[in-house]
Amino acid sequence: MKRHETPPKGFKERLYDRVKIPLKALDVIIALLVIALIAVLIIGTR
Amino acid sequence: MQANPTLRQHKSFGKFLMDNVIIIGIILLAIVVSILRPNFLGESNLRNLLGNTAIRFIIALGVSGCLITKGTDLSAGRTAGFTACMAAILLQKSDYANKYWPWLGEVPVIAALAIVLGIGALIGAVNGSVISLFKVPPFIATLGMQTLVYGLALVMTGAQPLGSLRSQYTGIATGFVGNPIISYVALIALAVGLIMWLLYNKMRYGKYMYAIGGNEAAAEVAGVNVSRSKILIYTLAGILYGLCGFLLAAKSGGASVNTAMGYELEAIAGCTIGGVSVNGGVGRISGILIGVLVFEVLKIAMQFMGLKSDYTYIVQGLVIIIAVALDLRKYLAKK
Repeated sequence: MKRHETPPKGFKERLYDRVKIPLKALDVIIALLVIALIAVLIIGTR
Repeated sequence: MQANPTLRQHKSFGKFLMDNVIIIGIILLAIVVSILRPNFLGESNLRNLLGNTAIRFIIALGVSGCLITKGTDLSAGRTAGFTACMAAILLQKSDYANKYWPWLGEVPVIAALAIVLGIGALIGAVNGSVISLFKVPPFIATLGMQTLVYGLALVMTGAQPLGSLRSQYTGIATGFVGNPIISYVALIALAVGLIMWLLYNKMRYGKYMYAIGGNEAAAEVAGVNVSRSKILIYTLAGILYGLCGFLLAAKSGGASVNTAMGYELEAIAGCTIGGVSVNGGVGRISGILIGVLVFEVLKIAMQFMGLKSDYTYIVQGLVIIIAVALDLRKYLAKK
């Protein structure tokens, strides 16, 4: 019987594994996205 | 050495915040909007919110099964649109001058429901078979089906909007029990949610689904018939899209080829916000409901805040990107 040493990864896991940015940089990107969201809400309601 | 309990509590609180940041943010938004615009909590708005959430919850339940098994279903919206058109054609008033199929007699509502659910099941079964038997990636298989079904809807309806539906049928959407907020559509969605909860948590169907999503090879070795399970999951998803289309046409009082356009993406977004992991193996019915509700609250809150309609798409897109970024952050932090 074929043995699986490591569990096979899904499409998204393989995609995420390719991301090499540090966690802090990702936090900065998320913060920028949140700022962009707030900016759009402010501009859009003017 | 034991960790400091205060530090541990602090960490778990931080983790809770990180896991639910979108939900918390939108609850805060809803509180702010309800203070600024008291109508936000008015009866008609709550009824509208509940009705919209109910329909999207049903479609999201279908998509969730695909996501949990590491798949996806991009044909969800178009299947709902196609079945909405079919239901509208079958249930037009018999004395309507522009009846689309004038030769068609009066079809009982229950028969029309059975037909649209059957169509949904057929589309889902084809999706599931292509994915599991021919090993076509779900993204590609369902993208093909999305285009195919859209083409079928265009051919079937001649791209004409379909209206003048029988009151027996539209009454399913307009009727309510006791309080007008609790419409039949909301009750149907609740019943579907309960059935799906039983399937996911108490039956072999759910156990197999989570096993496949967690580790497909291990599930197969453990005796799970992966192909059969996937076909079943996609077929059930198709049935739910059929039900969604049926209710949507009743709620709108008509249908067109553009009915339910983009619903698959809203459903995927709702599932992601509600904690269904796109890595597979994880997802709860309550989470899906919360995710869909949060997305609807966001949309309605934007309307109440007077956000120009062009901007609403930017906001929705940003919320989805932030949700995915947070999902990625969780994955990287766990590694």
